[in-house]
Amino acid sequence: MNCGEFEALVGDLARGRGPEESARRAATAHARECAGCSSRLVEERELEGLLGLFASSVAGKAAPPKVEAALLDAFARQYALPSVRRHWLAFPRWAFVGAAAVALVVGAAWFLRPPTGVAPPLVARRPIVAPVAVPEAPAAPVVQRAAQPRLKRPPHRQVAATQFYPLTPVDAGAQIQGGTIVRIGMPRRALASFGLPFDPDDSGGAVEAEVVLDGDTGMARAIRFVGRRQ
Amino acid sequence: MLYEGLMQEDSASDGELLERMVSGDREAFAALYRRRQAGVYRFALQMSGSEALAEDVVQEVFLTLVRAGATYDPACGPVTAFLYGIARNHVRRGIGRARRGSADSAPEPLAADQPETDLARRETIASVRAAVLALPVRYREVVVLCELEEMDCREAAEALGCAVGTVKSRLHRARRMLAGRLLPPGATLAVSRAIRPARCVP
Repeated sequence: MNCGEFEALVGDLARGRGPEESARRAATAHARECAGCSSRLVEERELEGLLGLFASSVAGKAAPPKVEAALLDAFARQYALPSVRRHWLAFPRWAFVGAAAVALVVGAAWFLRPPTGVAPPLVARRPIVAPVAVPEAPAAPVVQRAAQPRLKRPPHRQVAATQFYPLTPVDAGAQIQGGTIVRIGMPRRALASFGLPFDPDDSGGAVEAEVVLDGDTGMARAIRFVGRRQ
Repeated sequence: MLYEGLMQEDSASDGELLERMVSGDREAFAALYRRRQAGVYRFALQMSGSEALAEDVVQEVFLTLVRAGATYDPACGPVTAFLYGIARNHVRRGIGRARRGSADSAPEPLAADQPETDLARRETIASVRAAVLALPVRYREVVVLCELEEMDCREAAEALGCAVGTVKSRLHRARRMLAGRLLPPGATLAVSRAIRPARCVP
């Protein structure tokens, strides 16, 4: 045995564990002949004694009885729950977070899915909301575009403008005083939300709509569809 | 009848007790707690030097067992490894918190009810304790489990979630560090000389 091999065994030798009898005998014989390894074994034994002393100083230590009482109480509360709920509680928190993330992704994918041509044609329904009286368009300041060079826009295929549909609850017959009308583009599918007819085969396009913004709060109060956006 | 029940709990393995506990057996939980709490407590105490933290760790470990005992998979190791794994996480977190809050970072003094009366002995224990607490956490863990809790390297490896070889090498390195701190300089010199193969007598 050389010093390197002895060094690998010296800890187990000092602790009285590990090496087989033959290895132990060889190590002991080596220590008798090598002064360095001999003192190394002495030191390891000394260290073992110190660690043993430290271990004995905490040998009888244990958690105080109040911890056991609290835990038994917690156990009773936990197992008083219906088993289904207990099962859910047993799942780690990341499982819930993961499930929520998956649900979010699936929901987003469903919402943003491209329109398919196989959907059954929607039947035009009556407006699902009551029309609201809105002041004539000139009364409300339309968002002005300053004198900019006019770009030649493709001609709109005009469709008849619808009536205004309220976006917030309003009293019957109430008028929106003041406000701003802004023109926006919306997916054609949005027509179906207002019970308006649209061709599902042609649902990928956009329609233009005018939204009445409340003069005080800036909230969108009503909407009407004015034409098809090309 | 009661005696029979106690005998049953004494002879049941940790896994069996846990299985019964998960199905709502309070006595099985109590038996498992009584069997394992002291080891977990001492592990946390020797790792942190704080009795308050050790108490918290025991509470957290067994609360986790109550809440998530059903997730224990015997294929991943024994129940003790599961318990020490949880304890280890809480201890590391507690040590981190104590390190950030400077007031709590010093180890607590020995308890007043400590049976040691001999001053020299108490001083020796205090110096060993300080030396163990000064070890980096990954070395301290193996010293506490293998040297102080007397686990073998395989059990310690399961508790720490690492290879047996890793435990052995960490233990060897940790003992060298402790020897450097605790033993007189002459002895330390001899330690360094001892690993030189050139001085070896073949």
